[in-house]
Amino acid sequence: MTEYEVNQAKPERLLLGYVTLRGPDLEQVYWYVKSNSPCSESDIVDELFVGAGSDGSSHHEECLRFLSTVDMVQKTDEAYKVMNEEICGDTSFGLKLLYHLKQQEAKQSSLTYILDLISKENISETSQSDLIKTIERDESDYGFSWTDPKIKQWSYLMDYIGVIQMESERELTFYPQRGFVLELLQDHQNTVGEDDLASLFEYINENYWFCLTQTTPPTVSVSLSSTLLNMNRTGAINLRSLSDGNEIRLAKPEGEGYENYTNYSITVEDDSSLQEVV
Amino acid sequence: MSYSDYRCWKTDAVDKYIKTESRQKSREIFERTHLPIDRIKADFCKPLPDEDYISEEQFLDLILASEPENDNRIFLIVGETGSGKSEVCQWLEYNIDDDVHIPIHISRSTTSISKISSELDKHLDEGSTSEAEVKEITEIDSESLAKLTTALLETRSEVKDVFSSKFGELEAETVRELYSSEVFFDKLVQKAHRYQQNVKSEEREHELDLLTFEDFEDVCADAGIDFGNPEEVYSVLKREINEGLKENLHIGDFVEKLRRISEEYSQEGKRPVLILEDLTTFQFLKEDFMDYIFDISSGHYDVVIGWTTGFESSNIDHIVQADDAYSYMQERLQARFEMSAESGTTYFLEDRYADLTRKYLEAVFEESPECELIDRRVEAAFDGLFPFNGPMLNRIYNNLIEGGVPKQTPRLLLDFVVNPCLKSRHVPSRTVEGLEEQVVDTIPPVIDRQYPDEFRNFAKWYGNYSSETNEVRIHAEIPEILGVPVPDDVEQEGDELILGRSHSPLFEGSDDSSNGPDYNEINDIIQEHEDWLDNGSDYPSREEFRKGIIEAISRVGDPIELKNPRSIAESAVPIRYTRGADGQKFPVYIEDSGDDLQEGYYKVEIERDVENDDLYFSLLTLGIKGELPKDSNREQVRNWGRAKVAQHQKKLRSHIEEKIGMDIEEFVYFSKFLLKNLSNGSESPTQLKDPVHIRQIDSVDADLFQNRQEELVRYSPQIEGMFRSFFFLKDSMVDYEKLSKVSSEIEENRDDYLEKAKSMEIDLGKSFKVGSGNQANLEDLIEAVRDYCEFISKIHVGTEDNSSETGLGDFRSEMGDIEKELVKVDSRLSDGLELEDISDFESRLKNSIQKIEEPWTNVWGEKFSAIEEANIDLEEEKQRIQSVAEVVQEGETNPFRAIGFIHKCKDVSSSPLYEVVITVDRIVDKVLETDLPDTPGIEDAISTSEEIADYEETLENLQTHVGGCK
Repeated sequence: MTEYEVNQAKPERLLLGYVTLRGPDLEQVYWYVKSNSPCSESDIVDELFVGAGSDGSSHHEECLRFLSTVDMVQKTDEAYKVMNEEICGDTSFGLKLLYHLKQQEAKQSSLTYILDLISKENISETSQSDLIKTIERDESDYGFSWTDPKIKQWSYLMDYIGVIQMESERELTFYPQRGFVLELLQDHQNTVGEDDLASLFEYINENYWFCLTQTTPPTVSVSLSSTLLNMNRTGAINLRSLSDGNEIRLAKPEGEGYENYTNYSITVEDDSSLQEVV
Repeated sequence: MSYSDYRCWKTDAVDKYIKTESRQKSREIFERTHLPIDRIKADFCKPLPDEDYISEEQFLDLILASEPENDNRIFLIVGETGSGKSEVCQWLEYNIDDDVHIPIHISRSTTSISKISSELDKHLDEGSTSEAEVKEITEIDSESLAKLTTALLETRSEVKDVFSSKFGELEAETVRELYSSEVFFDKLVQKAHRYQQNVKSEEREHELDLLTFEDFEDVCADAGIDFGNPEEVYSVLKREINEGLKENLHIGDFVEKLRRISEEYSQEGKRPVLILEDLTTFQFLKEDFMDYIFDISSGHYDVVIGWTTGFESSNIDHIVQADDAYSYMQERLQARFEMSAESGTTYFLEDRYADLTRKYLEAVFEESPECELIDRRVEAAFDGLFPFNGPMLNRIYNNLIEGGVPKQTPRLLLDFVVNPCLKSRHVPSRTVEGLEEQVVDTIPPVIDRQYPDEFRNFAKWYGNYSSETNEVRIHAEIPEILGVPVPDDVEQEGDELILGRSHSPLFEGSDDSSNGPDYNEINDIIQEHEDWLDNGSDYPSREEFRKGIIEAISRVGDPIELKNPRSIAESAVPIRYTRGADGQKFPVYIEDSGDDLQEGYYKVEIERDVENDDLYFSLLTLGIKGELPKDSNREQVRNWGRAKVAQHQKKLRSHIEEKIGMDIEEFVYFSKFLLKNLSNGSESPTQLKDPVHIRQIDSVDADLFQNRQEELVRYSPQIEGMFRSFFFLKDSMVDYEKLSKVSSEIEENRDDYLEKAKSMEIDLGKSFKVGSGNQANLEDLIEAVRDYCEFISKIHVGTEDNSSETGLGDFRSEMGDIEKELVKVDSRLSDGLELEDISDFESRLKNSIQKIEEPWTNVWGEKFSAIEEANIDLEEEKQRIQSVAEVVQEGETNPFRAIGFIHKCKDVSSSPLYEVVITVDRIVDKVLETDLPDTPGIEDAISTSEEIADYEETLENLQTHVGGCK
């Protein structure tokens, strides 16, 4: 198996300090570099940006720096190429990015830390300001202050990935989007080749974010539970409970109570059908 | 066993205890059923200024605190009909027994003036009672009464001084006119007759009021009489009528009677307590009564006056003679108490309706020997309220209505619900169902649709809702005792049945009416919602549901906006469907609700689907309350909203794309290419990310296009904006993937798109707009693109004019001139041309011009200087000119290349080389065309002169260099 490669020349700048960066920008630059590898900075500017010398020129640098920091692109001999391409296989940019964010250490792990905290606190909806308070209460020492612009950047990125859904800049809901969850399940099946939920959540915990709200009994966060159970209700996936399996508790979307399952299977092929069903 | 086996009570006992008027009960019955009233609101209470609420005991103490010689003390007690005013008055009467205070209780049931008079007479010494027998109004026929009254009024009006002082000089004459009018007389007859009819019925109001203010206004209008100050006139007139009535009925001096009672008791060291349950019982005497009582020093009474809510505001000005009646009254009152709130609830009953019911049930059961068989099992199952239970009484109490308005009074609860339930052989839930919309507002079922209707109706009354467990629980004994069949699949836990909830209890018992509809309106809305969902019934109150739908969808997207969903470019100009979007964010069609759906009018469609019951209830709640219920499935709501946004956008997109025969992105991209091709002649539909500059378009000779490009140019800001909304992620960054895909497609099939664009249908409707501020119609924009494409498809270069192609004559003529010039220039150019040749040629031409005595103009000189200064590669320049000229010779039928040719023509025609050649040509023309002096031999002289010879040589040299000449 291909080993994860860390970009040895990665910038030091805090990943949550790129406050104007949005998911589509990163994806553009990443796919351009991937499709035209190796490519020069001027190629990127010429093809993707307008207005030479204006915001465009600095914005492309922001994108490249961010992607370099998360080990998705690297610069060699004045040309850029993508890194760790094989590791995530044929997944979407969003899932790739989340995977790479999970690999970061120390202060750069702050983006997935917030997701872990939301699972731990079992929050499904909150305001931007309350999220900051929750983080501050958690007393994790990241050595920087949690500000509105940082949370805003995080929210836009996570919403683009699909792991949360923004109500607005101020109101956040943490239900993962169905298309994202479907891809997550497909990725698990393609990579691990299992269909049991214990394996699935272990896979998610290890590679993306910690999605359990408690480990004994294993209980999935209310937000991810909601999406999974609703997908089960509409037939997009099929959750089952086998007598010899390890039961996982999923919190009911309506609030009180849980449903227990051991295994799953996917019954829709792509996320376009997910929007048609209620 | 069935319910009938448990119906142990006697109907007589029910009627005996549960009666309308407390005064109709014996003291024993009253005391057995009286629930101490411990919560009467003190609007103000001078003796107890700090108390917000008082109890009946405190009220009694306040009354008993007076001394016999004290002036009149007045206590007002206000409340809805049936809110317990009579109960308080009755209780006071029974409990005033200190040998000093003497209650004189005029109950509501004392309906006739003669009875009131007799009641008062009881408190006078026998010798001092009036001798004349008071006549009952029912004893006189209505017409006679009216005649007597008008006759008396007219007689009184004849005392002119007095009459004028009452009504004022100006109005007095008009009042006389009124007295003599037929409509006035008819009104008095009509009102007297109505009163006589009402008195026969216990249900109706018994107040004799021969002329209300509304009657007065009507009469004046009908009689064509206009008063300067009608309210003042009415107030005086009312008293005049009352005086007339008193005289006709031999009532005598009513006030005098009150004064004597007071005096006689006072002399005995006692004090009368006049308890008047309802002021209107005094009928036309109430004004006299109020005048007397409110003249505080006129007597030594404690007076408790009851009146119904609303009476005060509408009548007080006519009853109390003062400029500011309310202040006048308030100054003289000891206290003003309220039994009920504006919302209709009765203060003392709010948390005691079950206790009150229990008291009555106990009294009825004690009177019914068979009820001894009701055992503890039944007591426990029904919370000691058999045949009701706690949740049922809660639901009944909170939904009591009168005339469609909420009114939680003991009378409605006992007389109109408990009484008929006890008398009916049907189980109470069924009886209450029958009372819905009359006495009890309709409430929606609370358990899931899977249960039979009968069971759902039963459960909505007896069920105990739990928001925590999202369940409805009912004691298992209840359906068994009532004989209600329980469906097989109902789970039981301990002694409780557990039923799946249909909805949250969000609206139960809520009295928060500050936002949106009140509690009862909400129940009506929910009922209509349920009926619509179940049966497709008309849904008049669907606006609340619609509000929720719009809110839920708006939170996740904008269904009427078409753009790249990933774009946050501020300069983006999306396409918007604006029809029906006034006042709300977008139009919504709710299936089977009464909404219209017309062809071509796109609304977000909401299906009537019972499967969506919970979801729709959440949306309804969102509409009413502005927030989703706590137990709503929020992920489902969001995903549903996203699906609705996507479905509607898809529908709008399909409508446009079917008309134009291509994707919107292709249309936008192709439109921008047209602009670019027009502005700089670019023939390749690639590299469009930079904006097209309008001034470049202006530089094209518009005459060539006969202004057919104008419309396209006019829409260039919208085309540019749409291009950004579909192909830009940010203002500085394109959506590379999307742009590349569409760019390749159009590059490969550029000319096919021209054909497609020519056949676009434009009847989109005016609702599709581009932009948000100065909106353009997409339809007009598409028409501009289509017309432009039609025009340019006829453009070609260098081929024979085809006169059948209409509208191109001027274009071809203009082009023809350029084409001819190009051919001419091309013909003068040959290989190996160098700058020295040009300079040399210039000096020779100067010489030739001098020879023919023509001036060498500066303009010519500038042309030659320009080429020297331009420092251009003459060979390259020559080839560029020649390549354009080749197009002329070979012809160009492709419109984009033809437009490219026009730009190249303009380009090369400003080339210094081109201009020099044209200048040379003009000079040569000038030399050859010079009219020489008409002198024999001079032409030969010139033609043979050295200079001309030089010129001809020069010309030959040029010919050698540039090839071809005229």
